[in-house]
Amino acid sequence: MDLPQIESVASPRSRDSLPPWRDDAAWLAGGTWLFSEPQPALRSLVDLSAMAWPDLEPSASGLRIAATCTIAALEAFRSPADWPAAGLFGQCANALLGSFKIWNMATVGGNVCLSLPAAPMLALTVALDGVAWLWQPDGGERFLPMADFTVGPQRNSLRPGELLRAIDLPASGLRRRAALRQASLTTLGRSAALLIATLDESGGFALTITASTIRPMHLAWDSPPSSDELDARIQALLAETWFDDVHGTPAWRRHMTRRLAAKLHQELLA
Amino acid sequence: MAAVAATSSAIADAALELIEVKYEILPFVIDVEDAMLPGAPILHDDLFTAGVEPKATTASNIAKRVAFKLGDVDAGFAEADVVVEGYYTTQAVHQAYIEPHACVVTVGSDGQSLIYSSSQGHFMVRAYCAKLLGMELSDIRAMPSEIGGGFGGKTVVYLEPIAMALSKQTGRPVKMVMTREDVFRSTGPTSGGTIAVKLGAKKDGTITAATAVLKFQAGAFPGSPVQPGCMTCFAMYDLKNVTITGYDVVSNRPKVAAYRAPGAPISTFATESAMDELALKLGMDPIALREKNAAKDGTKTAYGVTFQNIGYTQTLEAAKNHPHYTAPLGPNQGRGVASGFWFNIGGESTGAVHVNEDGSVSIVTGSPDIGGSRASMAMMAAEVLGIPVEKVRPVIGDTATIGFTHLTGGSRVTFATGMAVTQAAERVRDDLKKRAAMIWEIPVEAVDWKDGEAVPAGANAGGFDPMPLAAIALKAAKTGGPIIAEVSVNAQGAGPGFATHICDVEVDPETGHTTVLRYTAIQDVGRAIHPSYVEGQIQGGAAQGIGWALNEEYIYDKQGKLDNAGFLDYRVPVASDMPMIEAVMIEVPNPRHPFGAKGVGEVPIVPPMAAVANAIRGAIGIRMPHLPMSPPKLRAAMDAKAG
Ligand SMILES: Cc1cc2nc3c(=O)[nH]c(=O)nc-3n(C[C@H](O)[C@H](O)[C@H](O)COP(=O)(O)OP(=O)(O)OC[C@H]3O[C@@H](n4cnc5c(N)ncnc54)[C@H](O)[C@@H]3O)c2cc1C
Repeated sequence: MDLPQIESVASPRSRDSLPPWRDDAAWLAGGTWLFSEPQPALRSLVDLSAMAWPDLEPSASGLRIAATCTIAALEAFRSPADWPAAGLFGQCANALLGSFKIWNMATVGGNVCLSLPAAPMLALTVALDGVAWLWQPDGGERFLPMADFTVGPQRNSLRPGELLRAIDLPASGLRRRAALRQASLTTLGRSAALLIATLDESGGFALTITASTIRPMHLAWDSPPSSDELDARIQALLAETWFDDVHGTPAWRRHMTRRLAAKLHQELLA
Repeated sequence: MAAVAATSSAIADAALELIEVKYEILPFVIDVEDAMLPGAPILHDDLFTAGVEPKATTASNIAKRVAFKLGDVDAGFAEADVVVEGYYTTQAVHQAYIEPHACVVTVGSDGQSLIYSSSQGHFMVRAYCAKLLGMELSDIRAMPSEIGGGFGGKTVVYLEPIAMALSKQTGRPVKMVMTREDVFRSTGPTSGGTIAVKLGAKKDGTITAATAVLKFQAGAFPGSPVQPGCMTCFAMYDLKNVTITGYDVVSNRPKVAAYRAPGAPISTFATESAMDELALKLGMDPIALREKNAAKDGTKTAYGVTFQNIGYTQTLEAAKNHPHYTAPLGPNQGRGVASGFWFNIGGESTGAVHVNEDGSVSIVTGSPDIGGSRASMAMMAAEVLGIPVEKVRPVIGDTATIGFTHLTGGSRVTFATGMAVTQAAERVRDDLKKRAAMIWEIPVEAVDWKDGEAVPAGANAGGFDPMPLAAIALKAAKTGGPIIAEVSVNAQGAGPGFATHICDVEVDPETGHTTVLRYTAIQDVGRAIHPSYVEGQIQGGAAQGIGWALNEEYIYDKQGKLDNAGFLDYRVPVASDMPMIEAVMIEVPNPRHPFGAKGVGEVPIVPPMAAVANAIRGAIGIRMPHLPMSPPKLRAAMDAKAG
């Protein structure tokens, strides 16, 4: 939709040319959410597309995913054979309920910064121990574990004017075995529960719960838990953790989370 | 109310932001039962319940009470060996037409106005605009635009009068287009409601008494379809003792609008679920129970009409004999059967048939085409004239070019407008015969019409070669001028529609998700003029009913605000949710229509909710009385059953 009240759009090409931060501005990535509903508080946009950050930079230490990398580019990434967890990229792309038109525009950064409970890129980057590289408006930068990035539905730890530059996925995370399960009220519906489990070579097991909870929940064990231990940790989550919206009641999301977790446990440890 | 027009939507948006609106937050009520409670917030101080004795003297949210009665239900229940009772609820659902409401309106300096909008009746658009703006009907020309879905939701106006008022003031054309969110928040869905049903029967399945109490949400103003809900809910059965009571109840929701067979799917969900319970309690096959009590020719309904030429028992017979009904079922699978009824209506329609100089034929009607009716009109005219259908071009005329035609609704177009077109084509055929007689210089009685040609009626009429329509058209100027006929009718005798649906589902016990595996919709269609379009109507109605059954609902937050005003959050079924819906057409022709047509577009949405509910009952052994039967509800019901 048109955003008629927007008065200026900046298209910086480098960090030096970023305009001074204004409270009525927003970073514009793919725009698939920004242009999908009225934004009455906004007067200016800072378009990140001209920054021309490389989408994906694999290295020995892991994979750097630029904030502006599209879902389509991430899905198309051909990973080294010793990164089995990269198989999650396609699954998470598919969990974003949108057509190829959305995939071609929507970015990984836009997805995590929007911080919807059903954000599959949050699930992916939290599950693989991602670290957010943030640019601060005073020229500084900071690094934030993705597990701490989101604090609630559409609420995150970004401070005013902070820009997500990239997310680093460590090679240790990518080398894990991983599996994903997703549930929604309808086939091809918005995620009501999206879980990723990972297992490393030394037996470290982690379960990341998203969509059914108000923010990603990362549960980790040094050695594989029994299915009862896993279920007990889920059952111990506070009642207010479970997300409630039109895509599923909290009780059903909790039920589905327990069920999907049991399946993931079985899949990775059987 | 305020409306803003500007030369761009950006300026209009900015102007709107400058209007300061102060809202006084009043107590509100969303639920229909809550709205009826003493002490509920009253929406209108001047609304008194109609249809009660003694006359209401205090304001109420109950706008109207309606009641229908046959026989003596107390005596009927006393006779019963078995009684079932149930309380059912349905949610408000939207017609979910893909095209949002939109219009362009101009009012010229001479006061003449032109409206382009898509609706289910441009004569209705003209009438509402004239009334609201104090104009003469003849000063308004309403042009029908191609319509992208209506399903009853476009039988009222929302934008056109506002655009007209703005155009009147500015002297410029005004365009208005709703967003999807506007459509959900400000146009009418159909009612949600509650229905209490009680059935009594003898051991052999004979129903001795039936009662239903229906309470329907009207939205903020009176006008729910509770009356047709009452009239249809038991119409499939020949009942001696029955009472049906309905309440039209206002609440703080959008004012409802028509949706395919208004009221019937809601009430029938309850009564056909109750029929399933009765069959279970009697240990009887659900089709056999329906056959035992089925309405037939001569059956008197609770609302007073005596049926003639109906095909309900034929749909039951076909269902019983369909391979679907006896196909094996797997674990967690169940089969449900449900029937449905819709009146179908007739009314005022106009059709014109013009023979062009080259022998092609134009048809003009006043009925917006929402289901392929133009093709049916062309086929009927071609049949009468004996020419290939490709020679006939049907169009929809605007309010200045064709006579008054009532809405496209009530499954009336093929019946009523079809009747006008058929009669116009017959007049043209008679005229063609007259012209041929004139050319041949023989009496008109000596001319017959066969396969699109005038032929001598017999050997004594003369040895003329057949004269095709095109040849007569070519000479029209010499035989009296253009060959045209326009016929207006107020069609009576629409044949009622009956359907029986069979549905197989599989319920995933872990997720509560229901998959519809197989669906067969059997319907008495009178005569299928255009069979594949009839099939499309049946499939579309069934698909919408399945969505209503499993997913669709208006969801409100605690502040009474609609939470799911968009297609992402209000989930209609998509192709991948559906099995192939097999449409079985039973033809019991309607003798009151030249080709036997009955309306077909509405009855297919009546049985699905109960058919799905009955199938779920079969699959998991639990009656789901509350729509939608979504995974969380099924899971909760299964947990409750497990204790
Ligand atoms: C049909 C459809 C289906 C969708 N399905 C889903 C779904 O299943 N799950 C889901 O989570 N979302 C979904 N969305 C919402 C949205 O499209 C996605 O979240 C998408 O990934 C957002 O990315 P974007 O690049 O388009 O973000 P934009 O719309 O450009 O921005 C989104 C927000 O993030 C901010 N932002 C963007 N980049 C940065 C950055 N680098 N640093 C700081 N802030 C930034 C913007 O200012 C804005 O507030 C859907 C949208 C549509 C239209």
